[in-house]
Order: sequence, then C-alpha cells, then structure tokens
Amino acid sequence: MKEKISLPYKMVKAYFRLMINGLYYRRYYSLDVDNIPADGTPMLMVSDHQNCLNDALGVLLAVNDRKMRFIARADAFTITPPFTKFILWVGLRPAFRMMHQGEEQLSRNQETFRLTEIDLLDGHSILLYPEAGHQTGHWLGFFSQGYLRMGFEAAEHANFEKEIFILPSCNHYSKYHGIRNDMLVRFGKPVSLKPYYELYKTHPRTAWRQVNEEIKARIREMMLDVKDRAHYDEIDYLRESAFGQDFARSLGKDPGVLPEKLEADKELVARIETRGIPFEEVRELRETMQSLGLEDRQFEKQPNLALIFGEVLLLLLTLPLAVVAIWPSLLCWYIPLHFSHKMEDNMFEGTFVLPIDVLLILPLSFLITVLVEWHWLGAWSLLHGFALPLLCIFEWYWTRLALRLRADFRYLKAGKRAQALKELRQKLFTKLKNILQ
Amino acid sequence: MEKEEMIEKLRAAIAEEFELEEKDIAPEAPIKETLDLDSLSLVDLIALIEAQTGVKLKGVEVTHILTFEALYDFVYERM
Repeated sequence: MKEKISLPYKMVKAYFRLMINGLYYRRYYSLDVDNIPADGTPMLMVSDHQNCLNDALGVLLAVNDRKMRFIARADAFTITPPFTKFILWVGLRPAFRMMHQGEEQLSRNQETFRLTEIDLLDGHSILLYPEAGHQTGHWLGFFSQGYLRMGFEAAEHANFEKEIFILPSCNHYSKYHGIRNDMLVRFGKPVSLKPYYELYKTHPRTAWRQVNEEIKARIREMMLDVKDRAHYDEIDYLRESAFGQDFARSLGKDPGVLPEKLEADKELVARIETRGIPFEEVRELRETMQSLGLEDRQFEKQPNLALIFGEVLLLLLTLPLAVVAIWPSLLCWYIPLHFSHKMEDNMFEGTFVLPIDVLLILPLSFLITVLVEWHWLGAWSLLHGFALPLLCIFEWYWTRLALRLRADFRYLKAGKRAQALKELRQKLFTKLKNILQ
Repeated sequence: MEKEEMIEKLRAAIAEEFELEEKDIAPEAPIKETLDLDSLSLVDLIALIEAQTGVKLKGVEVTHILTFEALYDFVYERM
C-alpha cells in the first residue's frame, strides 16, 4: 500500500538534503538504488553501522519515494521532549537493548515489534541496524537476529501469504570525524524470506541463522570489512596514505572518488590479510610520524619555505573573511566539536554536530543575523543570512589551511629526522609494494 | 542434581531450543557466537536455564560468561 507523504515531511527532508549534501558532506553517493524494492513492498532494510545517526540520514536521503521507518536506540528518545516528538514524526521507533537500557526494559520492545510488523504488512520500509551499536572502525560487528524475528513473525501473522524482503545495505565514509568528508550508501540485492517460510515453520532459529548468514555475506561484499583488528591502525594508515592511493591507481581506480577508493581499499585489505606484511615496521613509522606531528602528504610533496610563504599569504589575505565567518562557525563547528571530542565515544561526533547544526544552530543563526542587521542593512541582511552556511564551509577550510601550515612548520623543524623518516617510509612502501602488487 | 547430570540436561535443552547439534555445544565453544546470542535470545536462554535447573540468572551476569563450560560452572554454583 503506497503511503501519501505529507508536505511538511517533504519540506523537512528537502531542507536536510540541502544542508547535509551541500554543507556537511563534500560528496554524497547513493549507489544501486535500483535494488530497493518498489514502494508498497514489505521490506526490512539492514545495514552495517558505522557512524551513528549519520548512517540513517544517509539512507533517508537515498530513498525518495516513501516515508522510511527507523528503529533506533531508545536513549535517543530521552534527549528532550521536542526532539522525541520530532524523531517519532520522522519515523523513528525505539529499540531497547540490554547493554544500553538494561534487562528490565527489554519487554518494551514488544510494542516496537508489534508496530513494525503492522508497518511491514502494510507494505512499508523499515531500516534497522542489527549490530545494535555502531562500530568504531571499518568492520562488521556481531549481527543480531532480531530483524528476522520481526520479518518472520510478520509473515506468520499474514499466514505466510505476504512476501517479505530483507534489503542489505552498506554505509561508508572517507573519514569519520570532522565535516566536508565523503559518504556513500550502497544497496544490495534484496533477499526474499518466502523460500524460508517452510523451514521457519519447523525450525525458526535455523531459518533466522541461514538468512542472517546470507545477509551478512552480502553486506560484507559491499563494505570495507577489516578482519585483522589487531593491526587495524596499521592497515588504516596504509589505506589512507599515499601508498593506498597509489595502490588504487594501480588497479585503475581514482582514489579521489569514494566508491572507487572503497573497491581499491577492499582489495588492499584482502591482500594484506592473506599475504601478511611487516606490521611492526608500519606501526613504527606511523607512531614516529604521529609523535613528530607530521602528515603523510608531507613526504610526497615536501614543504619548503616558498610553499609556507604562500600558505601564510593566503591565510592573511583571507583573514578578514575568516573573522566574519566566525559567526556562526563558532556555534556550528568549533563549540560542538570541542564538546564532542570530550565524549567517551567520539563516534557520536556526527550525531552531536549534524542535527544540532541543521535543526537548531543554522535556523537560529539565520534569524539572529537578519533581526540584528535588518535595521542597518535592510533586505541585504537576508543575503548575509543565506550565506551563513557558505561562510561555515569557508571557515572550515580556512582552519584546515591553518592547521596544515602548522604541520608544515613542524616538518621544517624536524629537519634531518623528517628526512630520515622519509627514506624509511620510502623503503617500507617499496617493500610493501613487492608483497602486495 | 550432580554436575554431570546438570550439564547433560542443559546441553540437550540448549541444543533443542537453539536447533543445534549437541556436538556444537562444546564446553570451550563461545556462547555468543555459537548461539547467535542477542538480547532476545539471551532472554530465551535464561528462561531455559531456569526451567531446567530452577536457577534464575540475570542477563548481565550471562553476558560476561564466555564459554559453555563457564556457564555450567556458574549455574552449578547457584544450584
């Protein structure tokens, strides 16, 4: 049954799209959207969970022809009553987990299950994350089977006459932290539960297990799944460094295009995990670079005085605009990022920054700007108001350049140590190239 | 009930409930991965243990137990 989408919902979504695609991410990709079954098909969409709320927003923007429902951590419903009202309206339902809400709250899932089954049988699409919590890196965590209970129980309530689908999907980010990164959402081929109905009638857990294995395999095919967690940091460094970019180019992929980089990274990680590399040497290089405050790019294009002079000049010339752009960047990025860095789980950074900016800071900043400036500037104050998101982007890149300049000073200061490290890095990369290519 | 008897009873009941072969439930096997133990399955496991042995466990306690052997020891101590 197709659902009519209300105008306010469409408007809110369009606003989110503009802010997220235009402001928050540098590039956003939604891939293989054709794999999503037609609206009106009962479907549970399940995905890897990489970056808290940002994952769900990524899917929300990719699916345009229907109102998605989401199952989210119950604690999201306890932040403030207006926010709870908003997320219920958007289509979120609470999931109570033992590790987050405690054992005694688990029974409250019954209501979520009941409503989800009704939604499914009405032909709606529901997104959930079987890993329960997000991961802290690029891997697939333990995959709970709760979604299959919902799917099969809904089928049972319809006397197994309705075909219910599970749609595997994947999220991937160029970087987890900061803004102006790239994000992609990819959809796999849907899996019908119908062929499993007979098995489910006699052996429900076996049916859950078999479907779960199939879904996990399909998600793993799409995502970057680093299995060697003991060497995760070393693998991640190589992937992100010039070595990973050269590796991508050697496969004919463009490292600047996230979907292509993802494919290259998957191949790189697979080769590292099967062939093995001298991880100790990679760790030593990475840690030495970190301790000196150096960046991998500096070994590719060595900073010199002329480059530093150019950077200083550019920063000084654009300083007046950077000062103007402190409003509203201070509220949009600097203060939220400062607090999110102090969080125990820093993967919540995006969840903390994005909705606060989009729902609160930017609309509020617009109003304040226009109200304060109207007296002197009249309608021109609207121009300033609408330019605030662009000023935020400018400020972000200005700060990046300032940090880059600081790192380049460090490189010059490191002198012979930086040079020795460069040679060590070059030798290691040559060794790795021989192993992996 | 002797410990061996309790183990046999629990192993058979777990195998039946979770649709596994008894040999899959080896003493050293990891509980979470073997049973695909999420929050909801954990509730099923706790109910099963109570029905078989009369011991009522808390979910939080069981989540810290890694292997079946450790689970049997934990239950037996509370019988």
